[in-house]
Parts: sequence; structure tokens; C-alpha cells
Amino acid sequence: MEYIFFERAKSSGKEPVMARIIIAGDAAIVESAYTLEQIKTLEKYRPRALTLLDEDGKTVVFKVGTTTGKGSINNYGASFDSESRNEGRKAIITLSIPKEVLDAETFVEDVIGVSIISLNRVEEQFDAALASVEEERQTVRANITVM
Amino acid sequence: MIKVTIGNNVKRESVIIDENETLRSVLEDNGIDYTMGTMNLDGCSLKAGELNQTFKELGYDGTPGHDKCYLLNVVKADNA
Repeated sequence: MEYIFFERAKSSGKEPVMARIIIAGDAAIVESAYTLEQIKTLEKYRPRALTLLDEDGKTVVFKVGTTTGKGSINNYGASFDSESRNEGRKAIITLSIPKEVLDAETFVEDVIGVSIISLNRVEEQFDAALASVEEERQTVRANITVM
Repeated sequence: MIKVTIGNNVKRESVIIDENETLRSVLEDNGIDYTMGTMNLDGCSLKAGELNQTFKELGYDGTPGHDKCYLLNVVKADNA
């Protein structure tokens, strides 16, 4: 099994948040740094945190989300459809590598390398957004009275 | 994900959406009235039932060459 890591170290010195690609046989798996549940939470409460805007800050150029169909990733966004089987249960997208491809690493880097960079840039926003959502949810919970 | 330029005679905008969404849900999410005029997908007129199909079912599956489209509602005035 081969592993390729597209790392984008955070300047804050914290552990870098990054998506990674795992190649196994004819499959390439894009694994998010976050769980499917966390992405669904952001879709519900902070959809803007799932988008990457262009320089003028108005047009969405990349979007992350979940899908009920088959997951996919391209230059416009990433749709996660499943979870990894390890204990992290991270959101994943499974892609097929054509049989005629000899160098899987180069193929994957060429096809989705740019998308992974965009995905990492979007995921950098997740921690702050999830913390803010959790804070709001706690406030709501504190104001629920059962009579 | 696919990029859809959506709109009508007076406004158009580009949105990025999941290809498994239906045409109808994308139109409703973006406030486009599809009850009047003709709906066009990449210049081709849509039939009523096709609004309930997903973009993927209509061939826009996010692969190169199938990752963007125009979904427009065109209202023609009388004698125009």
C-alpha cells in the first residue's frame, strides 16, 4: 500500500489540518481531516464555512459537502459520501484509478492535486466554525426546560 | 460538485452544487421562478418531468467536460 500526503502546515504551530490520499490497488481514497457528521453539522449551521471564495470575496470557487450519491472531487468541490473504517471515522471519497495507469501517484496528483489544495484551504476554516456552532448549541441546550 | 450558471432574463449567477441534487431543488434554493417561460439546460428545452431528475441523471456527473452547465428560465414577451 502506498501513501501520499499533501500537507499544508499551519502557521500557528498546531498539528496541521489536512486531507490525505490513500492509494490501494485501483482505488484512490481521499480522506478528510474531519468526520462526515462534522461536515453535515457545518452544512446545517455554517454553510459558508464549507466554501472557498475568490479574491473579491463574493464568488464561491470551491465547495465542500456531503452527498447521498457517490462521492466525487474535482476543481469545483468535494462531495463526501462515506466514512473510513478505522477509529477516526473520517469522511472519505473513493475514486477509481483506470487500469491503464502505470504511475498511480502521478495520476492522482495530476487529476486531484489542485482540488486537494483547495480542500485543505476550506478545511482550515472548520475548527473555528465547529467551535462557534458548539457554543451556540450549548446556549440553546441551556435554555431548554422540560416540564 | 458541478458549476451551474442559473438565472432568468434579468439575473444570472454561478453556484456550485452537488450533482445529485435535482434541477427543481436548485431552482428553488436560488429563488428562480420556473412556472413561466421555458426552462433551458445548456440551450435545450426541458420537459416537465426532467425538473425532478438530478444533474447526474442528465449527464452532468462532475467529470471533465460534464462539470458545468447553464440552467436558465427564458420568458418571451408577446411578439418578441
